[in-house]
Amino acid sequence: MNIRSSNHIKYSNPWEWLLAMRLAVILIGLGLSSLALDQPRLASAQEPPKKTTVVDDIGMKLVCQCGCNAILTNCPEQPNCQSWASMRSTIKTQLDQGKTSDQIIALFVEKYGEKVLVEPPKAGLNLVAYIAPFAGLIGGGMLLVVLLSRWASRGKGKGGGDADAGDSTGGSSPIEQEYRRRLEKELKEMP
Amino acid sequence: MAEFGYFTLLLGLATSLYAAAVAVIGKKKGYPELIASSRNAVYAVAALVTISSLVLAYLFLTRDFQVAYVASYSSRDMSLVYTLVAFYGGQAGSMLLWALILGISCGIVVAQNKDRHRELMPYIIMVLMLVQAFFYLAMVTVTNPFEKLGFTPADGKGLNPLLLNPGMIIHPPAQLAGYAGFTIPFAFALAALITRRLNDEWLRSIRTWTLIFWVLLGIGNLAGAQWAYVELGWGGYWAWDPVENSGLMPWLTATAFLHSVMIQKRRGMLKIWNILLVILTFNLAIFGTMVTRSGIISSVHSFGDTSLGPFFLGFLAISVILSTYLLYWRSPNLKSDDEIDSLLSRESTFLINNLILVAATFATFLGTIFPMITEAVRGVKITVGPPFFDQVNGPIFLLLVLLMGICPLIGWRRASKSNLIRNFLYPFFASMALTVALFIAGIRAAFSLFGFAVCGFVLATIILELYRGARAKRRTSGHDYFSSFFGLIAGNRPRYGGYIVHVGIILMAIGVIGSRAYTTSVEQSLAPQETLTIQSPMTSKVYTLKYENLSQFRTESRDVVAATMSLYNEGQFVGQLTPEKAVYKNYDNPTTEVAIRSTLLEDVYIILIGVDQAGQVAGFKVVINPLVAWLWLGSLMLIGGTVVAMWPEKRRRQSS
Repeated sequence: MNIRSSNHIKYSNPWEWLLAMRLAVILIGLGLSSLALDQPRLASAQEPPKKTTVVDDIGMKLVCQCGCNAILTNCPEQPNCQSWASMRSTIKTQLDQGKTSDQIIALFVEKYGEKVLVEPPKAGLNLVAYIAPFAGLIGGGMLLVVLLSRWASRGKGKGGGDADAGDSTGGSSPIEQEYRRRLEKELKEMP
Repeated sequence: MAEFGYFTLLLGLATSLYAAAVAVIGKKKGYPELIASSRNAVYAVAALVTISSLVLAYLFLTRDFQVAYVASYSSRDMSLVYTLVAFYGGQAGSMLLWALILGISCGIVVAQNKDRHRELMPYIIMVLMLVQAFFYLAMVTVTNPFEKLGFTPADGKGLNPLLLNPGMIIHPPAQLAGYAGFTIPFAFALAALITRRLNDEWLRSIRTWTLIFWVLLGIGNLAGAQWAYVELGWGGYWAWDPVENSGLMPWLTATAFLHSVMIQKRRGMLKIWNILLVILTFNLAIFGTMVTRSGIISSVHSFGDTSLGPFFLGFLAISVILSTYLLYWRSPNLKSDDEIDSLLSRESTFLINNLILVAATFATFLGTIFPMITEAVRGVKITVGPPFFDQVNGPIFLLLVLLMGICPLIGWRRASKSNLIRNFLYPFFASMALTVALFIAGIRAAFSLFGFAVCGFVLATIILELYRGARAKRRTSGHDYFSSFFGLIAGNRPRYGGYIVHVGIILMAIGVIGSRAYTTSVEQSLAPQETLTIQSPMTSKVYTLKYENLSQFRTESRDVVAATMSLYNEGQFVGQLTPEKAVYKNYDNPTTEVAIRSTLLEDVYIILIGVDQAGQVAGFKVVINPLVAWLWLGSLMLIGGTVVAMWPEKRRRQSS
């Protein structure tokens, strides 16, 4: 039945391997999805067209500088917010002059610095914020698989198997499990 | 009266320090009288903090504007309800509310455990009272709610108009209760570490407390989201704002704890991990209070100033260092009693669930503090806004939802092929069928489609499990399905309460996916009798809004401009909506009162942006937010499920 050595993780049951693989695929898939989300124009090619104006679209990428910390388009102080009015006016003027969205955003960055962008540019130190959570998740996941395999190899031969997959649908009771646990523990401690 | 209030604070500070000191001295020296005295001191603290709170409430109700805090947050025209809301409308009152909730909870904990946990209780009292003393110290030195002005103004400034919303009756108290309450599991955990009594005894005592404050923090977060939706007037409910993030993080780690603690109870494993989660949750709750109330990070939810920032930071640093060191020191005593039998077992999936919850917490924390890191390292200020969190947390949360369907149906110890087929085959096909149906219905965005499929899968696993349970119960009891279903839930409330919570989370996930992916808006200026149209991207329905007229009126506290709009759905008259703008006395900036027509499918959300000088042409922003109602529906299920899980079991008189 079983099993794994210290160097290689082997799965006694193909279903275990299958689940591990599925989780890996889902993780990778979700990671890719997150990258896809970063490309709204590409990712939303299939989505219905949104009726927001170009000014709003650009405003969604900028932070209002009134101190509300909100996206420009969503500034809670509008329309009385001077910063909101001035920034939108600048966007309109620049659009009328034929500037592209990127050029207008660059203009704001030049004026206010990177803090005007609603998300940090994916470069330099900022990459840490984008990558670290997934790196942590994948690293933690791998560590967990190694640890679980190690624990599982120590716990093999203890019986069990498909215990209470649902208390309501059958399976052993907690009392039975407690007895089984004690029995296993005592067997383990036997010389 | 204000002087008396301040005196009760000083007395409370002294009493809480006394309680902490004599509890430990009594234990160390073996004087039971001192331990009994510390218990009485805890009751005294509970009484004193209640008196302080009653004094502040009295000062508000009697409009004693000589007190700076009362003058800053209330005015004569405020209703009784909002006058009481003003109690926690500012920093000093929030600190007092924190202390009140903790003080009363401490009193109950000590009374509950008068004859239990004799070894642990002195140290539990010490930790609880030191935390209580910190909040007293903050009020006595930095943010005194009873501070007097040198004069008595004729009227107060009144509450910030954004806080004049029914959501404020629930949101801040629930949020603060959630934060304050996590002190109790923290105190038990530290006491267990100090005394080396690291068996499961302390865990059993904190389960209900943790659940209560977990659900309160959840209610606080959701009520905050609902408040933002109806009050801030930008069309959304969650902006990944630092204050919102700060409320989410301890809730996530507490969720991880509530799951992993099951493994410790059943298998005696994950002892270090569970204590680490308790420590993390408490410190994140302190961090959350700091962000919300110190104004250390700018936020639309932050109504505090920066004076408390360094004070909290110091306390947080001490708490993190001491508790982590204590855990490290006792780690040799926290060996697992058991081993995992198989990689494919419920224990393993619970661990993966914990990993994902902690990863989501880490991602949220990193995003929240990253502007400070960048400023410190590069000297450049940046903003980390919703697109960042959507990209990073979106996939992590979806993975979490998927696991929510898998975890509960995999057997403890080891799952087999038959277990997997029996539990997941039908849900898998159901989710595939749902995906095809949604695709045919026009949902094409990959992430949304995948998200809805995952939600469908998880919902199907839960329904299947409930059906099988009810069927088994029916066979044994002979009752009908309906009675068997409720009998099943009553028979194992923690388990089925948990399932109800999971259903609530799924409904919320559906609401989030729908409203994030398919929201649309239009902004237009209209003269009376003109119309605008907007098509829902999800249902393709065309809504027409006709601007009927504008009215202006004045109340005691505000000047209001209201636009009457007639809403038509596919040409059929639905009803009239009146978005408003109001200018409150003492506040220059007008506030937005949005008008919302909500259905299960979508919300039509109307914002009156402004009116021209002639008072005729008005600017409107109309937002279609699909499936938002599912979010609120899911919230109610989450609360209901938690109540079921916490509900005490019936005493079995027959067996006794």
